[in-house]
Amino acid sequence: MSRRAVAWLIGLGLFAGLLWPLFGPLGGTVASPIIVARVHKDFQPRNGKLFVLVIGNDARAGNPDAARADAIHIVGVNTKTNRGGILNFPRDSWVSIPGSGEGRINEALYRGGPELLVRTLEAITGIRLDYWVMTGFEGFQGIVEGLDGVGLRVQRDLYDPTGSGAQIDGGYQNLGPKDSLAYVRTRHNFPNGDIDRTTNQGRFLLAMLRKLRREVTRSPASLLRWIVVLRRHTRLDISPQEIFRLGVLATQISAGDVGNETVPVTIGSVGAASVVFISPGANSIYARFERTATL
Amino acid sequence: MTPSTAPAGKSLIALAGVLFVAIVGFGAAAYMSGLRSAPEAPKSGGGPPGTEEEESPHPKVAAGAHSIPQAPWKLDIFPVGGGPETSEKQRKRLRAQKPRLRDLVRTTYNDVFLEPASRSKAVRSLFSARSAGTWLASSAGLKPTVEDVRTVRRRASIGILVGHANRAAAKVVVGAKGDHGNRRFHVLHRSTLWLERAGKTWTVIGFDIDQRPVT
Repeated sequence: MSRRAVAWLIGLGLFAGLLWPLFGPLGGTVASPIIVARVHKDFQPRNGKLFVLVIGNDARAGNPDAARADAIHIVGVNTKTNRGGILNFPRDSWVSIPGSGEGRINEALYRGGPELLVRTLEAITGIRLDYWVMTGFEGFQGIVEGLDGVGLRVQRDLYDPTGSGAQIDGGYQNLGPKDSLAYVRTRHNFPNGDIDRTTNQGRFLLAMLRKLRREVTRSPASLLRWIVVLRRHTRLDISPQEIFRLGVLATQISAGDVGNETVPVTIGSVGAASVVFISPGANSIYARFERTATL
Repeated sequence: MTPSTAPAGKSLIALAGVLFVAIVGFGAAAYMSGLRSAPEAPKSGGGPPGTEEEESPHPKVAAGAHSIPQAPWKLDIFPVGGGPETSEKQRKRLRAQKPRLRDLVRTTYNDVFLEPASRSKAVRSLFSARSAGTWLASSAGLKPTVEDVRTVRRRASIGILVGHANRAAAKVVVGAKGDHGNRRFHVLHRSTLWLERAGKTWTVIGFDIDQRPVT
């Protein structure tokens, strides 16, 4: 074989090699439809609506059973629409406590535990609550620590050294355990005091939801870590299987689709006690929330 | 001896030249083809501590009448929620579940992508009834009419809850190319599977899918 023939063959080979992609795997791709499917049908307790009572009590170490409810929220989820709502109750709301006369709503926990607080809220709102979950100061800080902090936008500089202990700059912050607790307890820095504090607690729950979704998008197994943290630092009436399914459900709901409302109240007093009275206007909120599980 | 072997030596050189050219040609072709379709190099070391990383040999799974080399499975299976206090019993449970989860993921996605005609059977046997219904009602995976399917990426990351090892979450990514009619397609499928175990059986109780063409 002559050198020229060899050169030709090499050239031909290289040429064929270069052209191969044009005749090989090229061609138009079939435009498959974009599919984003989600499943949540397996956990629909009642017509696609789910209500969970979230309780933050004021128990420090040493008196876990003699606690009052500092934070009271009904979290609603509509599994058909993947929307939800957080309905917040100021702790000083003066209400009728079933079988226990009248009192501040936070006393229901002290008088009869989470079950009595559930009954109290069911009587007030007409909403049947499916689950409750409760934590105290230590538990709350344990949760935040276990989650490596929770990021949210703090509306203003908070400085409340004698009350909640808050010393937090305004703007987006990744709050650690102590600052998180201070944030959800602070009321002196806000014009509407306890009402703003109650709303901020709802904002904090939404910040946690945002964080959960972000982490699960990156790694679904993060949900398992959240469950471990939650179970370690809370008391709840939810079975492990239900926690997992509720967690899955939470990952499918965008924080932007969850409303955060505090029941309307008027300020007043009963005897020497400063309390708030839930306004009659709250009834329409209850009805809407019960009907749609969204706010 | 040397003169008598000279002609034979020349023909050997010519033969070697031809072989060289052929090798260069095919090499160039394979290289250029690979540039267009090579799967992304799997990220390594992305899993948390305790990650078990495996790579199965390149399986040749029949798609239609052809035997086509498929991308190797890259599976990370790792415990979640454990720690130094994890007991030997818990570790034993985890070890027992790893192969089951691995098989579930492989079976599901092999059927969905490489044996689309039988995907219904696989999904119904491995998913909860409602999840299976939703999956099958969607267009997830490939149509039974596709041909010459070649997976270019198959990766799964599976976390198992330490304790009873009865909850797990998996993130699965599959890239696939093939023919549909007289057109080529290339899709990237990403899904999250939520899994529960009862006894020895794992069931997918929920999922998220994002599947779209690669442009």
